[in-house]
Amino acid sequence: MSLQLWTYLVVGATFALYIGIAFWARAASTSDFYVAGKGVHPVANGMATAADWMSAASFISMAGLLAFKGYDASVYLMGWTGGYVLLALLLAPYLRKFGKFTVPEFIGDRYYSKLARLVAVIALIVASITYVIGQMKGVGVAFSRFLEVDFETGVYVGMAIVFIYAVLGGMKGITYTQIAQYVVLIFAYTVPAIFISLQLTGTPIPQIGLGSAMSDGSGIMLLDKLDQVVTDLGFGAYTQQ
Amino acid sequence: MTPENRTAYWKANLSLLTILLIIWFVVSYGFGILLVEPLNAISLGGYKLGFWFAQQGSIYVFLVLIFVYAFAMNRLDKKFDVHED
Repeated sequence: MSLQLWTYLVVGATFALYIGIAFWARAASTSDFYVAGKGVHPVANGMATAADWMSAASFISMAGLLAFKGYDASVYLMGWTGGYVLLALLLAPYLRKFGKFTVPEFIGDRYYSKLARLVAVIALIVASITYVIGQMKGVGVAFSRFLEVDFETGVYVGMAIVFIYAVLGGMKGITYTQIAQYVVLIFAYTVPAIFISLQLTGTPIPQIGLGSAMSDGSGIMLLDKLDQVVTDLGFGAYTQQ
Repeated sequence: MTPENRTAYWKANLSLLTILLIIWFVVSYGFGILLVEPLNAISLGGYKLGFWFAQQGSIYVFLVLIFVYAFAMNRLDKKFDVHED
């Protein structure tokens, strides 16, 4: 079978899976639609959140930024992950204890002000739209490559698929499709990383492999070799500013 | 909860947050950015330590911080009898 056919099969199967899950977990009530019926196991919710982290922006853009900018792109790693710490320590616990559906609802009630709620809604819309624009750009690039159509058609096809499972399943459908995405993404991330690490350093754990010596017998550390290669190409060293 | 208990609970909550957020700041902004040059003189396997903190170490610490927070808050909630279920 040709590579093209394989791509259609694998991508088609994952979409069928997502839409299947959305149909199975479709929202039956308002609380299902907005907060997944509040009955999602913490581990499952963590998987869904992790899939959010590994979105088009990290899958396409952040990997590219890190490869291209090296140490300088560390701020994206620290910022994205460090932001989750702030969220987990300063906002999430209070939102949970308050027992409301959304952040604007919480802010409006907490500060006894409709205006504060409105400001929160506006901030939310601005942040979401900015985020969705970035994601849709990624969706467009991925779909136009995969279906060999132009960028706009790629965006429309991608949006149509997301629309189906978001409207059908609400937060419940999204949470369960995110869990499936988490499994798919983790697999797609780790398999190449493990095998590249094995090939270059003989260590199956990429985090250790990146800090080990090359297995080609030269005894040079992988990162030193990487610095050397990119400097020879005329870029700044990977591990330096 | 009595008003005294409420103040004590909030105080304990805030001091936990302060400690965790100081660590959060030190490992990322401190070790990964401000002190990256001096730390790069030390090496950890094939990693320069400052670089390791910027791309890996800080993230491991972040994960630990979230678990420590969850554990410590659960214990605090039990102590003041405001825990769930």
